[in-house]
Amino acid sequence: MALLELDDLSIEYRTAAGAARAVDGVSITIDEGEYLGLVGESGCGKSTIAKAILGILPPNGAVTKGQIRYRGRDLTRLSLAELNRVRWRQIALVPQSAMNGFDPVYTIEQQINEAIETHMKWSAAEKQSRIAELFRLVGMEQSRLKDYPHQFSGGMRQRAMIAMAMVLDPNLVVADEPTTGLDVIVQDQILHRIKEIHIRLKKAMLLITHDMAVVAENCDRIAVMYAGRIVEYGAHDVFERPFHPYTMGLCNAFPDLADEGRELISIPKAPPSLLDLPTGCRFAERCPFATDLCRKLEPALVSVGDGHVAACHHVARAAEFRDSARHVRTWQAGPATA
Amino acid sequence: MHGLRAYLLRRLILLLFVVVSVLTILFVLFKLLPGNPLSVFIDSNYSDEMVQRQKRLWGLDDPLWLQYVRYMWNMLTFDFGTSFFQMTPVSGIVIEKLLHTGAMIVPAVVLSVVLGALLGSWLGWRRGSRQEGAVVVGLLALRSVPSFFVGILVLMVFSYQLGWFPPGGMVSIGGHQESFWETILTLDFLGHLILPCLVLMTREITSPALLLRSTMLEVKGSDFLDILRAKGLSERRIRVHATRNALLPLVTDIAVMMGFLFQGQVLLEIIFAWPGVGRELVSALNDLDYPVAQACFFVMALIILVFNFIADVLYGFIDPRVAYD
Repeated sequence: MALLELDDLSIEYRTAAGAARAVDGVSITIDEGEYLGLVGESGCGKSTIAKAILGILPPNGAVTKGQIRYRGRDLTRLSLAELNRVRWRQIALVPQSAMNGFDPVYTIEQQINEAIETHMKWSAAEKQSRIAELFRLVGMEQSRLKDYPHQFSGGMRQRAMIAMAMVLDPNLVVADEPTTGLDVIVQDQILHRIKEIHIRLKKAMLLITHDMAVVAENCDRIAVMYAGRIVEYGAHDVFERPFHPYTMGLCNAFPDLADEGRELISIPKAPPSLLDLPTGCRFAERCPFATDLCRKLEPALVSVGDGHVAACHHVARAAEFRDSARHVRTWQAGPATA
Repeated sequence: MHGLRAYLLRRLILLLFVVVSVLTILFVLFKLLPGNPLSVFIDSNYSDEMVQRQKRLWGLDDPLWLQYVRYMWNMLTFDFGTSFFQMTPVSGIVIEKLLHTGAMIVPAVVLSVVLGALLGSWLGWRRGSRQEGAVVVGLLALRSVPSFFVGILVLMVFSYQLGWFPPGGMVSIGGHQESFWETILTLDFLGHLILPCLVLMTREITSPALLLRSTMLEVKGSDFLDILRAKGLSERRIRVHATRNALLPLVTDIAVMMGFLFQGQVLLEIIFAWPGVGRELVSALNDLDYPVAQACFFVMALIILVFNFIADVLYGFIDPRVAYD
C-alpha cells in the first residue's frame, strides 16, 4: 500500500531573477517498508523534495502544484499544528548537514529527549531506555549522550542523527544525502546502518543521493531526477537495463567493483538553468543521442517494462544507446547533430 | 576542567596588572592636579613650621617613591584613608554610595536586559515586518535622546504636574531604616526608585534589543532550525533555541553596561538628587576631598574590570563550545 505519494508535485523558488521551478510535475510513491532511492546531480531538486515532504522549504520556496499525500492525507494542506503531529512521529529526517543539524548549545541527549517530549508522554525511564536502545542500534557509546555536538566527529554526529530520527519509530525516514562531507569508510558505515535499520525494522526509507552506486547497493526501487523532473523510475532494472541516456551517463560516472576494467565517464556540461528551461527534452543539450524531435518536444514517461518507466522519445533504441554509452568518445563528441 | 583553572589564574594576573596600572595613572594624575591637597587644612596665617608639621602629618614630605609605595599598598588593601570633610573612613562612604547607585542600576539593568532580550528576539524573528521596522525606529530614537533630557521631562510630568512620584532623593526625609537593605525594602524607596529607573531603562533597553535582533538574524539561517521544525516543535520552542544561540554577545554587553552605568550616572543622580557614587565624586572634586575622589575613581575602574572578568568566565557556561585555553 502506498505510504507516501507525490502526485504531480511542483515546487518553485522565488528569486531575484524570477521563479525557479526546482521540482516540476514529479509523481513517485513509496510503499510501506520500501527503500526508494532518488538520484540526480546537484541542483536537480532532490533535496527540495525532501524539504517539501517535511514542510521545511525556505521562505522563498512553495509547492505550486500537486499533492504530497501521506496515507492519503495531503500534507501541503495541513495546518501547522496538524503537520507538527506528522513530523518526526510519522516521517523523520536525516539531513544532509549533520554537521550543523544539531543545536550547538544543547547536549545530544537533550535534543533527542526534546523530540520525544514533543510527541509522547513517556516517563524519564522510558525515554532513557529508548535512547539507550537506539544508541546501541547505531553503535554509539551511552557515555557520549551528555556531550555537545561539537565534541562529536562528523560520522558520530550523523549516527546520533539517525538515532534521533528513529527514536519515535517513524514509518518513513527521509535521508537527504546522509553521507555528505564524511570520508568513504564512514560513508559506508552510515549507509550500512541505514540499510540494516531498514531491514530489521521494516521501515520505509527515502534515500536521496547523487551516488548511483549507493542506490544500486541499497534500494528496492529508484527514481532518477533531472532538472526538476523524473526521467526514469523503476526497480533494479533501472541500472541493469537503463532506458534514459541520463541514467546511462550516471551509471558510467560511478565506479563498480564488479566491473573493474570499466572507465569512469562524466557527462559533459551542466544541467540547464531552472530559470530558463529548454522547450524540448531537458537533457537534449547534453545527450549524445538527441534528435530534432528531442529539442522540440518534451518526452513523457512511457512504460518500458514491469513497473519501469522512462522519459525518452527513443526508448526503442535503448539497447543500441547502452552499447554506445559505454564509450568515452560517445560523450566527448557532444550532442548529436542529426 | 583544568583548563578553566589555568585560564582563571591567567585572567586574574592580568586583572591585577591592569589594576596596578590604573592606580599608577591615578597617582600621577592627582600629583599633576593643580592645587594642593592640604590647601583645605593650611590657613594662610600658618607659619612655615606649622605647614611642615601638616605635611609630615599626611606623609607629604616623604620621598615620592615612598609615597607611591604607601599609596599603592593602601589602595590595594582598600584602605582609602579618611575623608577631609566628613572625617569618617572613605571606604565606608564609598561603599554606601556604591550601594545607593547599585540600588538604582541593578533593577534597571535586570529589567532592561530581560525586556530588551525578549524584544530583540521578537524583532529578529519578525525581521522585515512593518511592526519590526516601527519598533527599530522607536528604539533608535530612544537611544539618541540624552537621559538627562528624558529625566527632566519625566520629572516635570510625573512629579511636578501629576504629583505621582516624589521629585528626587532616595527616600523621604526620615525614611532611612536601620540598614541599607531594610531601606530598599520599603515602599517609600520604591516610589523614589521608579522614575530614575524608568529613565535609565528607556536608554539601556535599546542596546540588548538591537544587539539580540542582529544576532538572531545570524542564527535564523542555521540548518539546525530546519531540523527543529522537522521534529515538530512549536514555533515558540524553536525561537527559544534560536534565542539561546543568539545570547552569547549579550553577556559581554551586560557586563560592559553594568560597568559603565556605575560611573556614568552623574547627570541622572544629580537630576534625581540620588545620593550615589557619581554625585559623590563630583562633590568630592568640588570640595578638594582628595581621598574620596581617589577612591571613587579607583572603585569605578575596578567595577568595570570585575564585570569584564565575570563576562569572560560566563561565556563558557552559556556556550559549551568556548574552550578555556
